[in-house]
Amino acid sequence: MIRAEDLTKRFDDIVAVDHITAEIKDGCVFGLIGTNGSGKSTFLRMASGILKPDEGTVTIDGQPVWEDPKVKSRFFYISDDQYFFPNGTPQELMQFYRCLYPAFDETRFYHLLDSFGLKKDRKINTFSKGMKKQVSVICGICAGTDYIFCDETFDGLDPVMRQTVKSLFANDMAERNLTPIIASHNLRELEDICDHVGLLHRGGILLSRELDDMKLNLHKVQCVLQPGMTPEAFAGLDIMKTEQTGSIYTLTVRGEQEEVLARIAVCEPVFYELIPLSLEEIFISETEVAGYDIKALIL
Amino acid sequence: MTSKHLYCKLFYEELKRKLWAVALLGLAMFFALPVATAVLFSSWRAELFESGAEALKRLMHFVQMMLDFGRGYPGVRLILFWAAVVLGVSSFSYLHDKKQVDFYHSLPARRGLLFGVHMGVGLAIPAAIYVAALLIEMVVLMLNDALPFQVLFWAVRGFAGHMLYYALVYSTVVLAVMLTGTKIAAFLGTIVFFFYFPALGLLISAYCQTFFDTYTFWSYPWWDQLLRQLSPLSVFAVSLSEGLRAVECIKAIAATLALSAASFFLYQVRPLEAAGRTMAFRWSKGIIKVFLVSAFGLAGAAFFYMIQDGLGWLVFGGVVGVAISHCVIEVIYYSDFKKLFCHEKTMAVCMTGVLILTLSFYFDLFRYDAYLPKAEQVAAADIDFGEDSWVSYELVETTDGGITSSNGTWHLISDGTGTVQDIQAVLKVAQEGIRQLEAEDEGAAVSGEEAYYSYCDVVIGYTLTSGRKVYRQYRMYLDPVLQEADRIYGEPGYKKALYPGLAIPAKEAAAHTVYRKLGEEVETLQGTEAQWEAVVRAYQEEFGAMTLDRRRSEAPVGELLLISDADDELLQKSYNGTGSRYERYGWYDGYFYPLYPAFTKTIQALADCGIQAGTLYEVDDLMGVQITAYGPFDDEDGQDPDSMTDPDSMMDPEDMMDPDSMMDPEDMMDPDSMMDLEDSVIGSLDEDLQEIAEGPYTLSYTEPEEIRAILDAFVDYRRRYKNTMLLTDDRYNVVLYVPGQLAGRDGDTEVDGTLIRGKVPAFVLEDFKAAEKGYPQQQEGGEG
Repeated sequence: MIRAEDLTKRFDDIVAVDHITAEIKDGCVFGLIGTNGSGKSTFLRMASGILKPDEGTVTIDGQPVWEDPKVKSRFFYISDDQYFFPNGTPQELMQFYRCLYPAFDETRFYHLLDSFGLKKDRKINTFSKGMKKQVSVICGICAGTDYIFCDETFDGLDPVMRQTVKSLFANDMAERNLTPIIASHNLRELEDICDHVGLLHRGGILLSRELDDMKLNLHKVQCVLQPGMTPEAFAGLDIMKTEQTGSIYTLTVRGEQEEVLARIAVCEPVFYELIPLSLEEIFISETEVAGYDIKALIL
Repeated sequence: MTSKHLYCKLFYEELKRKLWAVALLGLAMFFALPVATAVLFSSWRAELFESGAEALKRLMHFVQMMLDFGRGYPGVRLILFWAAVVLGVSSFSYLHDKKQVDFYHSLPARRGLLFGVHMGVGLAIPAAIYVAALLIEMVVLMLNDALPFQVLFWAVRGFAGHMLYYALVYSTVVLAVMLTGTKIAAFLGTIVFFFYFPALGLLISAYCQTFFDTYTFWSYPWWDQLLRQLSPLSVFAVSLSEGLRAVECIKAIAATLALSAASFFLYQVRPLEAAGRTMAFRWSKGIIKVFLVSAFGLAGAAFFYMIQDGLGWLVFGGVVGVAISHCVIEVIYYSDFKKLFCHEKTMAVCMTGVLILTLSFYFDLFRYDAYLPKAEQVAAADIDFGEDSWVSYELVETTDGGITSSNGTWHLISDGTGTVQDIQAVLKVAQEGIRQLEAEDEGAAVSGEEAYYSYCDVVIGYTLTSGRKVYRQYRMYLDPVLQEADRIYGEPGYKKALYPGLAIPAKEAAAHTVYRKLGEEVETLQGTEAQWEAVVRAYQEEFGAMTLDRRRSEAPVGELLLISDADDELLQKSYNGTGSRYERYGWYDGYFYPLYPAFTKTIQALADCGIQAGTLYEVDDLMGVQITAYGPFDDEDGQDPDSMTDPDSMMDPEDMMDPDSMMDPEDMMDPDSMMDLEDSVIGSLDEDLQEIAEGPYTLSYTEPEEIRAILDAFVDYRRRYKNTMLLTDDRYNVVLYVPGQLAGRDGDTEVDGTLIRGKVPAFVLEDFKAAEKGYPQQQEGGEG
C-alpha cells in the first residue's frame, strides 16, 4: 500500500501540494484526477522519489520512498514527457532498465514490441508521440514492479492502443497484483479502468473514494414537475445542481439512491427518471462545489 | 544487486551514452601525440641519417616536450582543458532538464550512486584515451628506435601531471553545474570560478598601485598569492611553467577532493525542481551577486578613474559599475528583463560598500603610505636602491630545459633574508621617503635638475617579528639620507648579496674572468692563475669599498666578468655553444661588473695580465672630440646644486632677468644666434627656473690636453644602464671620433656620451659661454 500523509510541496510561493493524505491500496487501479495545476504531477513525482516533500511523507508498505533504492525498485514511473536517450533504440532502453530492475522480463518486452508493431533497433527519436508512449508502457509493464505510475500516459494513444494498454494492466493486475496509479484528464478513459479515484484541486485533495461509491452517492434525476412546482419543493434533497430545459428539470443530487427516489416520489412529479452520472459529471459537480466553475471560466 | 555491481552496470551504460566524447577525444589525442611524433621523426629523417646520435638527442628534447608535464607543448594541455569543461558540463547537464531529472531520479538508485557514475565516467574517458594514445606513441617511438627508459618516465610523469590538473578543472566545472540550473549558467559559472579571484587580485593590485605611492608591484602580497591559488586555471598555468612540485600536487589533490565533496553534497541537497532555473539554490544567488557586483563596481570605478583622474569620476564609475552589473545579473537570474531593478536594497548596500572601499583607497584611509614600523618590530630588513637592476643572480634550470635567472635586485627584497644589519639606517631612509612624499602632496616637493637626476626608486622589505613581510617603495631624492644609504651600501654582507660576484671565491671566479672595454670584444687574461686570482681579489676589495656617493661622480671605463662555475656551466649548456664569442658574452651581461678608473689595484693587476684598462681610450687614439650643448652656460652646471633642496632658496625670478646671468633679450631675436624657440629644449629644464634654452652650440676639440680633460669627465651612453646613479650634465652631447681600427664590433667610429656633472672642464664651459654670447653657432676648433 502506498500511503501519503500530510504531503506538502511548495515551489517558491506556490503551494503545489497542500497537506494531502491518501491511501492507494494494492491491486486496484487508482485514478488521480484533478484540475489544471492541481498538483497531480507533483504528487506523482513525490511518490516516485524525484521531489523531496517539504512536509509529510510518502511510504510504500511503511517504508519511505525518498532515497531508498529498495523501495524505488517496487515502482516504475512514466512521466508525461518521458526522456529517451538521444539516438537510443528500444533495445538499448531495455538494456538500461534491465540493470536497475532485476525482474525485467526481456522476453515479454520483445514480444510486446512485436505486438505493438515497434522495431527494437529503430531510433526512438523517430517514433511518433504515441509510439513513444507505447515504448514507455511496455518498459513499465515488463519491469515487473508492484506499482506503475502513469502521468498522462493515455494522452497520445489511439483508442485501440488505449484498450490494449488497459488490457495489459488488467492482465498484470490479475496475475501479479500490479497496482497502476494513473493521472489523467481523460475521465472517460479512467472511468473504464479505475477502481479508486482521487480528486485533486489547487494542491488539496477534494475526495478520495471508490469509484462505485462515488457513483452511488451522486445521481442525476430528470423530472417534469407539476405546474407551479419548483425543485425547492423537494424537501430534504441535497441538490448540487439544477438545470432546466422547458419543463424538464435535470437535478444533480447527492445521497443514497433509494432515499433520493423516495423523496422525489413524495412530491409526485409528472415524471422522473434516474440517469447514471459519468465520471466527468461527478468531477464537474464536485469541483463546482469547491468553487471551480467551468461556466464561470467560459462566461 | 549490490551497489558496486549496479555502479559498474550504470557506469558501462553511461559510457555508451558518451561515445561521442570518446570519439572526439580519441581523435584529438591521436593527432596530438602519436601522429605529431611520427611527423616529427619523418621531418628529421635526413638529419638523423647525417648526424645520428646528436640529432636524435635534439629530437628527444622535442619528444620530452610532448610527453612530459610543463614542457611547453600546448597540444595535450589544451585538449584536456577543453575536455574537462565540456565533459564537466555534459556529465551533469541532465540536472538542468526536467525530463532527464524525472528519468534518472525515479530510478531505483541513490543520488550518490548516480553522482559517482557520472563523475567517474568524466574522469575515466580522458584517462583511458590518454593511456591509449601513449601506448600508440610508444609504438611509434619503438619503430623509430627511440624508446629509452627515460621516455617511459616522461610519459608517466606527463600523464600524472596532466590528469591531476584535468581532475581539478573538471571538478570545478562540476561544482558550477551543481550550483546552476541551465547549461548557459553553468558555463558562466565556470568562467567565474576560473577568473574571478585572480581578476580580483589584479584589481586590488591596480588600486594599490594607483592610490598608494609606496606600493610596489613586486611585493606580491599574501592576498594576491591566495587569490591566484583560488583559481584552478591559474594554478594549472603556474604548474605548467614551474613543473610538478610535491607541495603543489598535494594542494591540487586536496582541492580536487574538496571540490568533489562539495559537489556531492550539493547534489544530495539539490532541489530537482531547479532544473531550468538559472541558479539551483536560492541562498547562492545573493552571495554570488554580491561578489560579482562588488567586483564590477570596483572595476568600473578604476576604469573611469583611469580615463579621467578625479574623485567625481571614481565615484561615478563605482555607481555605474554596481548598477549595471546588478541589473544584468538580475535579468540573468530571472530570465526576465522586467526584473532589472529587483532587490534594490542589495544594490544599494553593494554600492555603499564599493564607494567606501574606493574612497578608502583614494584618501589612503589605511595610512598605507605613512607606514613605518618601529625598530623593535623589525626582525630583518632588506633594501634596494634601484640602481643595479642589470645584475644577474642565480640561474635556475626550467622544466622545459631552458634556464631562467633573476635579473635585478628585487630578489634581495623578495628573498627576505635580511641582508641589512643597520635597521636604523633603513628606517631613516624610509622616514625620509615618507617625508618627501608628504611634501610632494603638499606641493612643496624637491625640484630642480639635481633632484631630477638624483631620484631613485628605493624598495624596502621588512620582515617583522610577527613573521609578516611588508614592502614599500619610495621614489625619493637620496641626498638628505645619503649618509645612511652609504652606511647600508658599505655593509659587506649587503654588498655581497647585492653583487654575487663579490662573494664568489677568487679562484673559482678567476677561472672564467675576462675583461671587456665598453662596447668592445672581450679580452682574456694572460699570465698565471695566481695573477688572475689577484685581479679578482683586487676588484672584490675595491668594489667592496665603493660608495653610492662615489658612484654618482665616477664613470666606469670597462667591465670584469665574475661568474660562478655553476652559472657558467648552465649558460654554456643553455646556449649550446652557438654563436660568436662576442654574442656568447652578450648573454653574460649581468655578470660583467663595472671597472672604475679609481680601482688602481685592479687596473694594475690587469696590466700584469696583459690588459690595459683604466681608460676608455688613449688620447692619441682619438681623432677628435665634438661637443654639442644647450645653454645657458651661466655657471658650471647651470645652477647651484645645494639650492635645489630648499625651494625658498630657489632663484628669484627677477634675477633671471639679470643680463649677466642670461642672454640679452635682443639677442634672443637674432636668428643667427639661437634656434627657433619651438626647436629648443625648453621642456628639459626645470619649470621653476623659467629659463629659455638656447642653442645648440657645437664645438670641436683636437688638442691632446683638451681631449684628455674631456675624457676624464666623459660618460659613454652605452653603459649608462649600469650606472644610473651617475649624475651627468645632459646638456652636453659628446662624440668621440675613433679611428676605424678601434671601432667597436659594429664598426661605429663615433662614440656618443655626455659629461659628468661637476666635472665639466672649465675651458669647455668658457668656450660655450663665449659661443652663447655672440660667436657663430658652429665653432670649429681644429680638426674634427
